[in-house]
Amino acid sequence: MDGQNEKAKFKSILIIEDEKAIQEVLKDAIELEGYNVSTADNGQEGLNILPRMPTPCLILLDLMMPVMNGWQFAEAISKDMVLATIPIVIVTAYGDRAGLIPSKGVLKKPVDLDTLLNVVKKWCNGGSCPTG
Amino acid sequence: MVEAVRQAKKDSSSFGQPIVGIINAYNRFSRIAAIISTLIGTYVFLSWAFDIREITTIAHDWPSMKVNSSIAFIFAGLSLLLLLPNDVRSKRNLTGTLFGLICALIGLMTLAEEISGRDFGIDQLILQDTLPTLYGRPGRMSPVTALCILLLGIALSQMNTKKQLIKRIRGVLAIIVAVTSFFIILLFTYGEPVLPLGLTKYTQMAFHTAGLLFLLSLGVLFSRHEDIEIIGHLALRTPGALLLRRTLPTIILTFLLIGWLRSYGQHAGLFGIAFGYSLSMVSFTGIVISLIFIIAKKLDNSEKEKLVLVEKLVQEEIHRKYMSNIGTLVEHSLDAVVGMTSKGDIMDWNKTAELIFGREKSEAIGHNLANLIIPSKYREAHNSGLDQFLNTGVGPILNKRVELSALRRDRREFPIELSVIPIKEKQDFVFYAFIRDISDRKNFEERQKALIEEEHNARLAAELSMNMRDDFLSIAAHELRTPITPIVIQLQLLEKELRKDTEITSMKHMLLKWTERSRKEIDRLLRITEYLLEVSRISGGRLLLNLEEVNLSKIVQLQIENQRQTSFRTGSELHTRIEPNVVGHWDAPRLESIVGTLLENAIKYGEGSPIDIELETKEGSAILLVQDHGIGISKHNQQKIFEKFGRASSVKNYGGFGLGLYISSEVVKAHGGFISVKSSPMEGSTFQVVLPLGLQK
Repeated sequence: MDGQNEKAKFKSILIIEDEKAIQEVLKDAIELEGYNVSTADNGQEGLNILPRMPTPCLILLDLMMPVMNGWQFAEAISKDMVLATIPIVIVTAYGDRAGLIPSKGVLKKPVDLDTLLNVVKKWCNGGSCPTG
Repeated sequence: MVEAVRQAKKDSSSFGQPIVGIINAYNRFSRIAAIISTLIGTYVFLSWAFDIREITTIAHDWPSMKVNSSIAFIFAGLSLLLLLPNDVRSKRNLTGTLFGLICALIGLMTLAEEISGRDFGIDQLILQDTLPTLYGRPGRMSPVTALCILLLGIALSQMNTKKQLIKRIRGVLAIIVAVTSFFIILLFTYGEPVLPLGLTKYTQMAFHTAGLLFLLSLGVLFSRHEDIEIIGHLALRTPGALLLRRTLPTIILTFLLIGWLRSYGQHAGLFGIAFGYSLSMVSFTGIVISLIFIIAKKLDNSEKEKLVLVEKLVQEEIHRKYMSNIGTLVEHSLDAVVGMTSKGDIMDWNKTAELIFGREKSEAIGHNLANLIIPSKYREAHNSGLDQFLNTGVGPILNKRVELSALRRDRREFPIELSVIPIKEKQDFVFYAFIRDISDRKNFEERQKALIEEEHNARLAAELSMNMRDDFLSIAAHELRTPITPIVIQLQLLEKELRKDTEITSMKHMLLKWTERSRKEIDRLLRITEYLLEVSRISGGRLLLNLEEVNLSKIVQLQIENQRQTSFRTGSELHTRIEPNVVGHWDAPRLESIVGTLLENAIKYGEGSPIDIELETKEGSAILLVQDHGIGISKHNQQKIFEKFGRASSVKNYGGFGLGLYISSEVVKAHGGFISVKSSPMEGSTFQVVLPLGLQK
């Protein structure tokens, strides 16, 4: 493991994505960089998982999901003083519809691996992470 | 106008007919003359019988009426009285004629005595008259009196003749008697009856004898007014007869008066004979001239009236003809023309009305219009509208076009177009309606309306299906990206892993080649989904440009580099003339796509021919030219290639959606520019893109 990966140890990232294949490949790619990755299949699951995991340094959020979609999830956590500070990066095929969410960026599907890793590095290795 | 004609007709039909009142007056005169004659005759006869001389002479030194004369007058008067009614079959005729003959016989006998010089004893036959006369024998009437009585008796005996000649003679005889007796009366009037000089001794006649002769002769003439033209003419209803009636008595009375005045003046010693004549002549002349002038003036006036009447008649004839022509026109009008009285009854009904309402004229005239042709739902409105107009002069449907419906004979309703015109006629109104059957037009309009609606619905359906297609395109494009995402990342992970070790085995090399090839195919797939998305954005009006400062020269060069390998494969040489740093405000990814599309097309359809790429700025715009020398595009297809799914070549020879140029064109338009093509088949195509440099939406 190189130095970067060492730094990434213990840092958590939450991926909220209903599409299993995307969820897993994102998890794989990010875990290979040494982060702890938790996944949720929709916004509701994301809300459930958040209290039971270390506060993530980044949430990768899909928009179109069953049960609770990305917009509703963002709305829900914006009401929690602590959770509202977690940076959200939206991962969506509908890039032109993400505007309403106060996010730190948008990754358009299909996501390029290098772009994804750069975004993760930017928000989780810059010292702004609560656990960092 | 019509009054003039009526009067003229009346005048012309009665023109030349005797006026009944005048004929009655004639008969009344004759009857009175007969009665007077009988009464005076009887009176004088009785005077002789009782020897009352004053009655027989009237004036002291005047001749007396003889006994025989008085008897003749009794018979003549009775004869005229009996024969007065011109009735051939009457039994009184015989007696009347007999009395007339007795009268004639008295005259004849006396004349015979006079001519033969013998005395038949008739003079003293009835009564003794021994008084000496100025001439002749005592008791004998003068020859003139005898002749007059003879002629009068003959005329009376022929009162019932049917022969024209006898009638004429009868009239002439009566005239002779009338003139003779008038002459004697004038003699008395002028005061010279008694001078037994020359002829006058033969013309001795009692004044009343002369008067009765005059009365009886006129009685004959008036009772048979057809005998003498002037008498008949006097009774006619003509302007001439009227003049005659007015002037004749005037002339006669004037002559008498002037003659008497002259004679009176002379006798009184006021003036001599020559003075008297001159005075009377001057008076006569003046009066005659005045009368002639009156006659002339009357004639002129009557001529003038006639001319005015003729003019009126001509005008009326012209008007009548005009009205008759109008009537013919109305009768054959293409519209139904229906006339209605103010009571609501039909008074006119032309041929077209017969046709469209299916009713003969005879079935319509006089019937209530509302009941006959107005549907019950409009009847109340019709009646109240009519009342309103008659009361206020304002009608709701008058003088304009109205669309309603009417009833045919079979009580079926049909649509009509109608205009009603009120016409004032004296104190009343009549109404004329022009009516057009618009069933055909209505049907046509309804069909057209249905067609328009159908077309509208079809368009809505098409728009809906187009929207659905655009929505579908959008969803499909997004959904395609979802499975691509893990593939792309996994390929990248794989590639990254393969490149980790610096040691390259041949197997590793192969794996790298495969992943790269897969990446390229995935890129192509992504580009296709991007096309579909762009199309759905353009169709939905959601094409939003992300404008920023862009160096178009760099974009073009980059795209050329990207395509160089492909062009090398097809054999096309790329000749470039790029002005460096062509900078404007544009949407960079979209410009990349446009340049890429044009280059791809040029290589694809250039078929190995050289390709020229030029970029320059000109008049505030960037101008990009991409020219190939390949298969070219026909004129017909040149517009089509910029349309959605439009393509000039068959999909069997060249793949692709036919969306690249459509999207490019729309994106250039969104930048405020335009894209055009110049091309000829088999000579190649030149695409020109003009993009304004400025901050354009």
